[in-house]
Amino acid sequence: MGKAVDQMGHAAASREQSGAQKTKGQWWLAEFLRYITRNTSALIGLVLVGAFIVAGTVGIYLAPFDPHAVNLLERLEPPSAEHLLGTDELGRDILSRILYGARISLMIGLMAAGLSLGIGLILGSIAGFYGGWWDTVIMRAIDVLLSFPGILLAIMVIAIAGPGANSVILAAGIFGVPAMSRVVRGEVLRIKEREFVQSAQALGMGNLHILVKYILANSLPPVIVMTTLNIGTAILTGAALSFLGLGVQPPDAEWGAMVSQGRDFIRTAPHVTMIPGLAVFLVVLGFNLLGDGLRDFLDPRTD
Amino acid sequence: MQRYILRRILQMVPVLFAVSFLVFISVRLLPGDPARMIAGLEASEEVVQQIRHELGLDQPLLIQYVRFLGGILTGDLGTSLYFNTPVYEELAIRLPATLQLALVGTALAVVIGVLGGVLSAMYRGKWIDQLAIVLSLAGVSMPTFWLGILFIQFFSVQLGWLPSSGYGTWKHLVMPALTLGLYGAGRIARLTRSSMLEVLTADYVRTAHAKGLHPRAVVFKHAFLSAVIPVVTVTGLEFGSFLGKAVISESVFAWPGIARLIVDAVLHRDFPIIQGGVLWLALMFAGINVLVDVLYGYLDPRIRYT
Repeated sequence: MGKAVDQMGHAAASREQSGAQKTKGQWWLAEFLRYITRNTSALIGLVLVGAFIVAGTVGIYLAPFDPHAVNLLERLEPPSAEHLLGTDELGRDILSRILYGARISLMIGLMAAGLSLGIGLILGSIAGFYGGWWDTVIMRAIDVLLSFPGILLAIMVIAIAGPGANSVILAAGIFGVPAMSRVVRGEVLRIKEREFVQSAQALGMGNLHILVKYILANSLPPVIVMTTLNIGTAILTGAALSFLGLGVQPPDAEWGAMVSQGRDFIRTAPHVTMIPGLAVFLVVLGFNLLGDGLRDFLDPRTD
Repeated sequence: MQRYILRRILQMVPVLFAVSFLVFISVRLLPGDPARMIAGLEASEEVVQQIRHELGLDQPLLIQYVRFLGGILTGDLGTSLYFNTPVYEELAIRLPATLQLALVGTALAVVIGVLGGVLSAMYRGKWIDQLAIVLSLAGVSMPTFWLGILFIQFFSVQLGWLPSSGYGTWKHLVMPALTLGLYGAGRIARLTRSSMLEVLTADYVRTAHAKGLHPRAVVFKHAFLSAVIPVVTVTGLEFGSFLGKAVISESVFAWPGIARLIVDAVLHRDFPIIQGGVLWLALMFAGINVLVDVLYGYLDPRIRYT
C-alpha cells in the first residue's frame, strides 16, 4: 500500500502552483462542473454518490413502508407494483429497507472517513513537520498497523468493542488511518521545503500557523481524493463486517446484514440477497469513480 | 544479497514484537471473563478462581505477556476455550486450506490482472482497453461477499456445475479462489496498465522501436520487465489484503481456513484462538513482504542491496 500511496503523493507534485487559486470557492466549483460534464465516468460517479446521499438523508421519508414492519402473509415476494423491490423472508418491504440502510451506510462511511482524516492529519502532520524522533515513532506505529493483513485489524477492533454500528465506524476508521497518515506526511515533507514556507518562517510565524495555513492548505487535493475513496472503502468494510455478523445487527436494515440473511433463500428468492449487494456495489463504484475523477481534475498531469 | 535478506528478516522482528504485544493487549481488553465462561454461569466462585489460576490469568500482565511470548516460540499458543484443544492444532489443520486458497487466488489475480493490464496498455483507447478499465473498476468496487453469492447463484444454483460450499476437490476451490482473485485482478490490472503506459513512453522503448523491432517484441522484451516491478510490490502488499479478504471468501463458501476460524472465535469470544490466528496471519504476511523485497533484486538489476 505504501508504494501506491507514495505514488499518489508524487503525482500530486505538479499541481500545487495552481492549487492556491483553485481553492478559491466559486471559480473552483465552476471549473469542476465544466470538467465533470466532459468526463463520463466521473459524472456517473457523481450521480451514484448524489443518489446515495439523497437516499441516506431524506430516503426514510420517501420509504413506502416501515422498514421493520413484518408481514408474514407477503413473504419472499418478487418485485411488484406494490413492493417495487419485493419483500424479504419476513415480508418486509425491501425498497424501504434499502433506503433505511442507505442512512446507516452513509453515516458509517462519513464518520469512519472523518475519523481516518482527523487522525491521519494529526499523525501525518506531526511526523512530516517535526520529523526526527516523532517521525520514527509514528511511522513505526503505522508499520505495525499495516502488518495486520486487511480486514483483520477491523475484526480485532470489533472483538474488543463488541458488534454494533459504533464499533464498525471505529474499526473502518482505524483501517483507513495508515494510508491517510502516509499521504499527509508525504505532502507535508514536500511542501515544507518550499520557498513560501521558508519566507513564512523568516517572518517569524508560529509553527502551527505555518502548518495549517501554508502547508496543509496546499496539501488538500490528495487528501480530498483519499477521503472520497476512504468513504467508499469504509462503506465496503462496514458491509463486510455486518455480513460476517460482526457489525450492525439484525433486524436493523444494514445492506451487508441483509445480504447475509437473504443467502438462505437464494434458490427460491434470489432478489432478497441480490438487491442489497447491488446497492453496496453501486455506491462503492460511485465513490471510486468520483475519487478517480477528482484525482484527474486536481492533477491533470496523470493520464 | 544474503546479508540483505538477513537484515530484512531482522527488521521484521521488532514489528512482529509490536504486533504480538498489540494482539496480546487487545485480547485482554475483551469484555467478559474467560474463566467464568469456561466454568459456566452456575459454577461457584472458587471454581472460577481455580480456572483463572490454571490459565495464569491471575498473574500480572507483564508475566502473562512473557509467558505468551515464550509460548509463541515453543509453538504453545494455549488452549481454545471453545474447542478445548490446543490452539496450535486448530490452526495447523486449517493452514493448508488457507494457504491453498490464498496462493491460487493470488495466482489467478496476477495472471488475469497482468494480462488485462498489458492488453489494456497495448491497445490504449481501443475497446479492449475500455473493457479492461470497466471490468477492473468493477472488480475493485465489488463487495467480495456479494460476488461470492453471485457465483453461487450462477454456477451452483443455475448451472449446477460447482458445489456451493465445502472443501476437498478442485471443484470446491474454483469459486472461493475466483472470488478472491477477481478482487485482486482489478487492482493489479489498473496498476499494470498505468505502469506499462509510463514505460512505453520511455527513451529506451522508443529506441527499441526505432531500431525496427517488432512492436510485440518491444512490449514483451523491453517494456514488460520494468513495468512489472511495481506490480510485484503491490502483489506482495495485496497478499495481506488477500489474507483479510479470505475471511469473507472462507465464510461465503464454508471453507475451513484460519480466517473463518478467527471470525467464529470473535463470535465465541475464544481469545486464545483470536490471538494465535491473527499472529499466524501477520507472520505469513510479513514473510511474503520479505520475499517480495528479495524478488525485486532479481527483477530489477538497477536495485543494488548493500
